[in-house]
Amino acid sequence: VEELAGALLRGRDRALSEPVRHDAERSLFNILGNIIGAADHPGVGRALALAGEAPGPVAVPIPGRAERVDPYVAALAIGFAGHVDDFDDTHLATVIHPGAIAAAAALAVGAVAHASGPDVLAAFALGCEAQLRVGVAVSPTHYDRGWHITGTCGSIGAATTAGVLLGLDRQTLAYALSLAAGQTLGHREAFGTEIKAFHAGQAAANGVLCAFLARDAGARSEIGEADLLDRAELLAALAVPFDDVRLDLDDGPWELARNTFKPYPCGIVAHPGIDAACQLGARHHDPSEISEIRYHCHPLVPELMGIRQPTDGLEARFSAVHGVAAGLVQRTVGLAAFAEPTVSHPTIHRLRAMTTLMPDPAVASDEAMVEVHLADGQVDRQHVAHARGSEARPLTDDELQAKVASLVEPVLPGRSEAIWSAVIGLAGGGRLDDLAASCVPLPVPSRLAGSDR
Amino acid sequence: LTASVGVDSAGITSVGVSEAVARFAVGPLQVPADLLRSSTDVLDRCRTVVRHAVWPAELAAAAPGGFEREAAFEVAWSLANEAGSGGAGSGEVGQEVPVAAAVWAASRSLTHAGAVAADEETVAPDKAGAAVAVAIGWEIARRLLVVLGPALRDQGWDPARFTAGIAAAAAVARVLALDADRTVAAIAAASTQAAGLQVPPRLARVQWAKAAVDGVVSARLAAYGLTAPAAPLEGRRGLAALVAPGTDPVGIVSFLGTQWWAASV
Repeated sequence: VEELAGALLRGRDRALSEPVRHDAERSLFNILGNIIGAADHPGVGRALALAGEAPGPVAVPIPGRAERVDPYVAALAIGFAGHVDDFDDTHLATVIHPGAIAAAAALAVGAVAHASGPDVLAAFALGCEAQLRVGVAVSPTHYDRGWHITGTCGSIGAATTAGVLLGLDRQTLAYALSLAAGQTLGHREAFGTEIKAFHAGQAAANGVLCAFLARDAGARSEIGEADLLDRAELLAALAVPFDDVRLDLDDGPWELARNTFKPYPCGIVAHPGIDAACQLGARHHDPSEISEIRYHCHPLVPELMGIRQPTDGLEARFSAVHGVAAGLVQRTVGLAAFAEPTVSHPTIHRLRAMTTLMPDPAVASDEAMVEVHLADGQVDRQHVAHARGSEARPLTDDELQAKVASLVEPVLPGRSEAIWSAVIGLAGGGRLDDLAASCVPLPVPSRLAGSDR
Repeated sequence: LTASVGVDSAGITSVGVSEAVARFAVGPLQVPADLLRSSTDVLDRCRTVVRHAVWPAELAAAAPGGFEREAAFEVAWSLANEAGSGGAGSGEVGQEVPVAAAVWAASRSLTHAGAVAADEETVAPDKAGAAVAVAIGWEIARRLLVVLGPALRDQGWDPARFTAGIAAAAAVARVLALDADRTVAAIAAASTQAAGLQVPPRLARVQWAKAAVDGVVSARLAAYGLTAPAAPLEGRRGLAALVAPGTDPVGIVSFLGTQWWAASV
């Protein structure tokens, strides 16, 4: 594990050079949007309730909220918020959602360490990369067995982010990683409940705890060779066998470059169909002229997203025909498309009913062909070779900014551009405090706070 | 998955394993006298153990929630440290250590000055109530260890540590007077966190201490309303299927409440 720690520390400079730097900025910005967008989720309130009433000696701001809490609870709440809407990021080869955990650890510990902007960005990038490298090393056995890979690999990644920010040396970081290996978590049994998002939050909190414990043990000169695991032990319980070569950070392209951002808050297999529907919707403004829709799709679409007439927002996220209908009518598909009044709208209901899924093994997983048959007999077709947000067709910076704006603006009106600027400013020496300040509500002046009683 | 678990004290003949564990944890029952005495002893050790200040100052919030986490961690760490956990692994530390540390911390935070939020409808247990909670956690820990232990050991996990956090969560659920439904959620939150490898002593101490914290946090989040799977122990992708495929999880609750496995340790 000491070798792994050394490779992580050597990776700092690469993390701050192009193109890794911009990949990290995009991942960080995307997840901040998710964290703020979910700031009012009841589960975030539950996590914050753990802190009690007084924040203690170090108070970490929570994006989108007024509270400040201790770093352990802050990491838990922020990580939870980042993942709870399932609208965050996905490393497709491992299905890890790395951003929530690395961001939660960075914000929680960055506030303690008074870290510089470059340190925060590098620590975030390395925390993502550590999760993804460990994930690649144990895939696909690990996830297939039933582990929620985001939580299990997340503890290691969070310890990396937190440890780098605390300035741990190679041996002390290795100790933090050894501690984190004993605090992995996450069963897929929890999917469909808040515990899925809790995995991301708790993994972040565990990594933060391990880094602090390692720092204090290191300061007391308590760590020796005998206290460190070897690389095989780090992962042995997670998947047997695993590919430990994949942990060498000095080699090969960064996995972080393959992180993708969801453009639509629903199952990823239907994204190309929604892309096609949005383009068709721009050409056919009157849905009443449509008489039939055929969606030529990858065979997994009906299997994973086969709900025909969803009755609520959660079901709608697992309905490919709903995504297509919403795309045709609304032409942009955001959180509102998976909430009322959209889900039960009569026009949407009618379009879902007339949509046929046509699974075809020749259609790739990020590909779709949608045909719209009009009442006058004409047929309009839209082919999408690679969905927006896929590895082959990543979201552009403009698309990413539009997505984050849709998440941030309802919670913090007018802030999304300031957050983008603060993220982009980190590498040049911008301060974490400025980024954090851009992500929380303005304090209510005490004169006003008292006046509305 | 529904399991037949015999007839328990409430006359229930067929409930899921997780629910049966939860009902046992928070229901009425008669703890054998020797197990109750041992539980009281370990709680006394919690009260007298020396504070080592191992929980970092940054995490030791002055708030009640911070107190609870810090106290659970430090007490369990200190007791594990006292036990000396020498040699390979952590075999000399009993599962009652994190269970008792979690119960002690949760009980203390309920009685600690200003520690209970005004809107919490929780009642501080007396000393005897805390001892019953420890006994129940100890029993659950023992049963999980016996049924899942061999498979866990083969895969490199530390079976005693791996199962202790779940037991601690169930014990704290009793301290917080949760109902059976919320206790299943507490067990679910702790079950999904079950971890701990066969590691050198310094790492093992932290793993023991973390089990106590996980128990406290799991029960608290359940009390606050965290949504959770209904069958965390026996579900299709639950704990038993994941770490001990081929093992029937019904063994965990066989004659639970009438036979006490912890008492024979």
